[in-house]
Amino acid sequence: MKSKLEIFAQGSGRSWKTAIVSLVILFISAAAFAQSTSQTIRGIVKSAENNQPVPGTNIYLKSQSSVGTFSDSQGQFEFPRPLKAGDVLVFSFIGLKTTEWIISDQTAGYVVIEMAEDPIQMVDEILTEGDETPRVAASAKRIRKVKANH
Amino acid sequence: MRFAMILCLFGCSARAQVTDFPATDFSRADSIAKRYTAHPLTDLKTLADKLTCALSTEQEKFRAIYKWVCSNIEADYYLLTLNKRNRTKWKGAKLARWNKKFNRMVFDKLQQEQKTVCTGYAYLIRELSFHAGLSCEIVNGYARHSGIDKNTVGITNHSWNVVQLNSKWYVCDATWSSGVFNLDAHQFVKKYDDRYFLMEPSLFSQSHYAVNGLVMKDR
Repeated sequence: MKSKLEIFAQGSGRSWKTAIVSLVILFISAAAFAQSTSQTIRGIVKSAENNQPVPGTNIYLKSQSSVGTFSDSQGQFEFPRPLKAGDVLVFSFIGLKTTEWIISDQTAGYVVIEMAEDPIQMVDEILTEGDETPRVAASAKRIRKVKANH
Repeated sequence: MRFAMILCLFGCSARAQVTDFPATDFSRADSIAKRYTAHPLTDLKTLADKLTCALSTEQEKFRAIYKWVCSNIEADYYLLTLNKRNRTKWKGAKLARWNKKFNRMVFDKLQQEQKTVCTGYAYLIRELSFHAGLSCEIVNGYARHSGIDKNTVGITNHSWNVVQLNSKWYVCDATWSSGVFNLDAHQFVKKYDDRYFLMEPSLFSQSHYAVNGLVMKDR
């Protein structure tokens, strides 16, 4: 016949095993949950005009702009921090339209970012030496008039 | 949104100008801009960070950006005359093709030689402001001064910026602040003119007419 102490020890052993198994299950679930809400984003940046990779694109997190990376010589990148749904990445390259890209629950781990050319219309009117803007011209006219009156 | 911005610019902020900041000493922003003279344009985000991260107010951040652009970028007379000629000569699809080709030329020249046409100035101001967290837009329209070519009247000829600082919209013209072109020497003369920095709108509108109040809204 087992003593009360042995029965307690046996019962206690089972409790410990159950507790350990529960903890392991808990950790696995937490890890799986974390993976589903936050993930590492890799991808490529391409020109929308010619489908060519765009190297040197600055890619940063809009909410914390000090966190970022650049696309490499093949246009590839891996963002240095896992991202979650709702995070916004900014892609910037001179001459191309700055693109904001929102991470969603459906975002795959590898993404293709197409950047279009900036559609601004280039116009030009510089001042040459001796040109006067209406304000300056008006002032000069007033000065001449004052001088003429004295 | 666009209409609201225009109302805001010409309504509530009718007197928005640099004198709104009497307590601001811009010398710190100016010295930061000077520290990064000739900084490459390959990465505008990094440049914007360098120019603005040590400054706390929106007006100082914008000042550093504005001063850097005006002091480091030159107007390119060759690009200017080439574009002007083709924009007056061509129409329709041919003009659209030219605009596309010319955009690439401008951005290449901007990156490689830090030279541009006036929309290039406005573009840089907008992009650097965006990376610094400031709302800024390009405005296209007509510029008026004594040397204007009368044959080009009616064709959009200039770009400038509107920027929102502390919830008010301000106007500025980085091209005209940066210097003047010497036609005899065929050289751009860098000569910073502070008058066009957050100029009083009523003065600004004497030489700048926005096309239908158009504010280019690309993002």
